Amino acid sequence: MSGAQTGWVDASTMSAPLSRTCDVVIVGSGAGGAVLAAGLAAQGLDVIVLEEGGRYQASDLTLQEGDAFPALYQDRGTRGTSDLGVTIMQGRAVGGTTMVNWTTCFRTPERILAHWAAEHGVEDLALAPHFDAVEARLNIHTWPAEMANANNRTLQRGCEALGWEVRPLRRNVKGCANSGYCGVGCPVDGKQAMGITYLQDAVEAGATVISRVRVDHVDVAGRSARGVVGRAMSAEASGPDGVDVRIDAKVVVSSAGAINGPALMLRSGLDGGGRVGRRTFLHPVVAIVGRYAERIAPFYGAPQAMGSHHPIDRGPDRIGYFLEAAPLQPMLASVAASQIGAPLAAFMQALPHLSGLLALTVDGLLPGDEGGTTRLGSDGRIVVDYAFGPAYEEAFRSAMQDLARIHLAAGAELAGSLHQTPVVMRRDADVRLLEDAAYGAHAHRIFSAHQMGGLCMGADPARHPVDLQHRMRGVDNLFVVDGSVLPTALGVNPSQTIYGLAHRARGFVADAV
Amino acid sequence: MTPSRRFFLGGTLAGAGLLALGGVGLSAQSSVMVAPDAPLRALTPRQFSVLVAVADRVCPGGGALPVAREVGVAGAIDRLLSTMHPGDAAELGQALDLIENAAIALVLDGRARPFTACDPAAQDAALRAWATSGITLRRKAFLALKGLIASAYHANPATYAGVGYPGPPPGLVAGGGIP
Repeated sequence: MSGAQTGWVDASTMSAPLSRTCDVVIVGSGAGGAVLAAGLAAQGLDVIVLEEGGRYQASDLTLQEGDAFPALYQDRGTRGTSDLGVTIMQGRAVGGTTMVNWTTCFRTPERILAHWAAEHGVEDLALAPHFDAVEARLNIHTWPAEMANANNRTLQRGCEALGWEVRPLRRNVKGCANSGYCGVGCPVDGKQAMGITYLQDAVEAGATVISRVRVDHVDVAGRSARGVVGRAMSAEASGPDGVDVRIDAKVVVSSAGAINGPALMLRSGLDGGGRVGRRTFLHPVVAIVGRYAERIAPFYGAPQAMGSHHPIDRGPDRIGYFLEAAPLQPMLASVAASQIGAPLAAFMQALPHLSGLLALTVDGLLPGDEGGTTRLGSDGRIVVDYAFGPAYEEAFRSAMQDLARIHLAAGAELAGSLHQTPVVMRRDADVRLLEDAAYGAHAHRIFSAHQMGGLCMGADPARHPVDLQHRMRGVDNLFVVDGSVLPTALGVNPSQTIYGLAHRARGFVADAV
Repeated sequence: MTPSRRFFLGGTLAGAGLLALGGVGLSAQSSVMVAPDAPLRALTPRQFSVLVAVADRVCPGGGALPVAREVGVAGAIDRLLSTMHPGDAAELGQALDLIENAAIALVLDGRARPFTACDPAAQDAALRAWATSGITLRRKAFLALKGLIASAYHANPATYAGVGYPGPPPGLVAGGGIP
């Protein structure tokens, strides 16, 4: 279309309806969409990326949680499961969750790849060269142990005292100021988020990134996707309030992420025989907070510098988990706290001396563990249902006990759970107090920073709505390239797996143009 | 959850609602209204007043910490709700209406006064009843309110000093470079 804007475009400033034609339209600009867009644009394809959130650069950021969460997270920072048993932290901005994630990077574990091959027919992904490429572009490297903040050193110290594996994490950073503000948008462009890496590459190669567009649906006719339909949405709006947007394309890609991606398919009339939205995984997170005599200042320093996979494999009948630190700036800390009134104030007044440690449970691996379900509510809102059975209750209890032992071994004055009435432990013998507590939604705080699945990839058309080449089954030119294709949770932070899969998917999508 | 369980919960709330309609004497008791600083965008004046009262119990202040109403918590939540799906504001408003309703409180918790007309101890007891209720909807409503109130309060720089948070290092903000 002649005279059309290219490069970085903000749809909320448009006064006339937007109608464009391109080779590939990608819905979502996060870890999947950005890497894919760069690869396709480099091949000379005409690529348009649509993003619901805004484009924020370092100079736009105030580093205030009260500004960042409504602007940069899904549902203004209030996303949760339908019973609010799990608080879901998921990005909504140009760059997707990479705008706000804590930068921890892992290659997909071999045990997970073996599980996918055995249980889901996902074989021969051959991700190594793709990981090599994204590690180079995003400067993924081990963060020096001596740079770890006190909040991470409690995890290191406790694990070492217990004889448990613990190691420095790998991060996608370059020129990191070690400030601790990853979760509210990096103020110094140290984090190699998509907005300053792959999306920038895509734009330089001729792609257009249009922000502040909410895509309503994919226009599907029979086995063919013709394009996508949506509307512009201004920064403070409660819903689409701008011009109509229609992008016609030879190939349509959903990179809207877990939760939003399945919802997009459902709004498009594609339910995959009832499989769309099923197997939504959250890495459900429980935490134990330690109070230390020394100053921890958990609000400063790289959020995650140390991690342990000591409890990842607890046998065939138990849910494994892995351990990392949680940065505690005041707003997030207050959300984590389970109490109100004077006890909440006392918790918060101890903040400089608190250390937050997390256990991330790995969902989707046990037989019959289907995780949660993403669906559409009657008024169009996205609903995530997630029920925790006995296996989770056992894992949550075990995980809290492990975290409490770590804190106490690291020298904490006390370790406290995030139960409605916290379990407080001052010595190792007190850890057994956790035996009598209740576990599951509403019994204690549960978080998710990793959303996966909902449009699972696999070999079986009856079980997997997406095939091994990322194609949505039943529609020849509709692809899914993001974390929603993961057939199980990962047992590691997911960003690098998504980068790698998107890098691998470039060829499949390009071949369909 | 089994269908019978769901029916039971629904029936409980529906029954309480009918009683509320019939309990004119109780539901007509006056709410203690609080005037907002700015025009409301999402909540009704009564819902806003209940939110002010609830926020003051979630974040009552003390020491170097201000009470919630001093830092405009309810107004901040009203503004946030106006940027969310209208269904979110409607549901939170309904929860505030239910918390305030004395007839429902009498049926469920034995409390015969509107929330805003209760003394702080009775308000604390009311919130505990919602937090620990056997009815999922009430626990969910408590979690929503607690999360929004604690967030709005502790995201406010006026509360930073009270929790020992120095705030973002000035040199990092707005492209100021690495200190």
